[in-house]
Amino acid sequence: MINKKTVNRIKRMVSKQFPEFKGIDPKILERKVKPQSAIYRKLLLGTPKILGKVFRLKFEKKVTTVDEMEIDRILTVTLDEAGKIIKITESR
Amino acid sequence: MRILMLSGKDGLKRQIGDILNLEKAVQKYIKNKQEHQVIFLYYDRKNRFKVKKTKKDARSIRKFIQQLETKWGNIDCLLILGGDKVVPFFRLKNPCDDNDKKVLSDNPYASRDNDFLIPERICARLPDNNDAGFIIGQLKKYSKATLKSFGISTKVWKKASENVYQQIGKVRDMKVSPPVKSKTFKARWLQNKDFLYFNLHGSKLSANWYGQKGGKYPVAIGLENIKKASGVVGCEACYGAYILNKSQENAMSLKLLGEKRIYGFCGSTTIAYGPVAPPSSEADLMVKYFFEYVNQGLTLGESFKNAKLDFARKVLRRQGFLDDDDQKTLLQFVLYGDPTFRLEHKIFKKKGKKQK
Repeated sequence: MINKKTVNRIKRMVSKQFPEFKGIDPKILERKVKPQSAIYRKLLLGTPKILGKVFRLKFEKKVTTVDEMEIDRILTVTLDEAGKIIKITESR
Repeated sequence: MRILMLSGKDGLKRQIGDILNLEKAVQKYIKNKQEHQVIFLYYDRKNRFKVKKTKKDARSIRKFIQQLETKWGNIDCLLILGGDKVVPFFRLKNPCDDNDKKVLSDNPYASRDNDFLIPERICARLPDNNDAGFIIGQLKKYSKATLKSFGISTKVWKKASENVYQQIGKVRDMKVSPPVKSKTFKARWLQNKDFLYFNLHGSKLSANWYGQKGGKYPVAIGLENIKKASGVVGCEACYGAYILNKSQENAMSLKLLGEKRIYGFCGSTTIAYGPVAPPSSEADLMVKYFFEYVNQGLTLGESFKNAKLDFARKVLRRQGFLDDDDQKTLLQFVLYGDPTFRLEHKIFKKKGKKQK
């Protein structure tokens, strides 16, 4: 499992770069990445990479638009096993 | 190219009433596609291939297509006539942990095996909008070259959007919301264009698409802003292509497709994801590749299929696997419109090059 220090580091980064998610505790998801051999084969891409786990820190909140529609806002930070950020995505 | 136009007669009758004019329009469309082998079948009626008719159920309809392939040969392109009540979307398991219980998808119709992420054939849909004229209109669209584009992004995704928009236009021309709001939005921005790009927030309940700056979410564009719009649409908004129990009155995608010169709509049926900054990924990357191929002169169908293949290849090369967001992106993006449509001026350009 991902350590608390890493989670706090990500929370600090999110608070600074995405202030609308400040103060939100992320939901932490651990994903074991299975080799996607069938997809590699279908795309003629050779041998799939061997991967371990990734961690997804999901920051979620509901916001209200100016015409009072409620929409989900989701910010996900994906980390590798070493705690390095692979990518950051936001819901559209 | 073998093209199957598929619909359900009972569902279609329920949705649009009299189907005679639509059937005539389909026959005319087929006649005009001499370069392809095109057939039109109802999955719920007997057919000349003696494939057993089936009920209105996504899995059964897929089986019908597979059985037809064994008799007719490989189908390169599937064109679905009708919305969810005629040919249902697949309800697939959502790879992401978000509020979508299922992902509405046409991907399984595009796939020959059970790996639905990667399409093997072109698949597009003409939603019915409870109106035969709406479907007929999609079959009659023709392009008029403008070499112009329009794009709009939330302020917070400006940099990420520029990376997509550069495929089709000058980034300095791209609008940003805010300051753009529906009240200041000019309908003429959407007129006489080849491409329309939207990287805005969307909602399942509202037809509006929203901008964002900090915690403010103004309406960037509403239905009232659509007048004589034209072009191929690439939309990243959440639920941008969500059409269940919707019509032109409450879905932006259908409102746009109802315009005479909106050629096709590529968008997401559910909550979509994208990067906060370049490089392009998820929805940004999908739409970017789609525009790139359309701009090269490929048909909408080829562009859409190639966009999915290139998307998967790019992600696998970049990170070694398709994660939850990537998988959802591949499943949720659908194409509405005639898959054989291409921007005509692209053909002229090619001919011009050959002549040289």
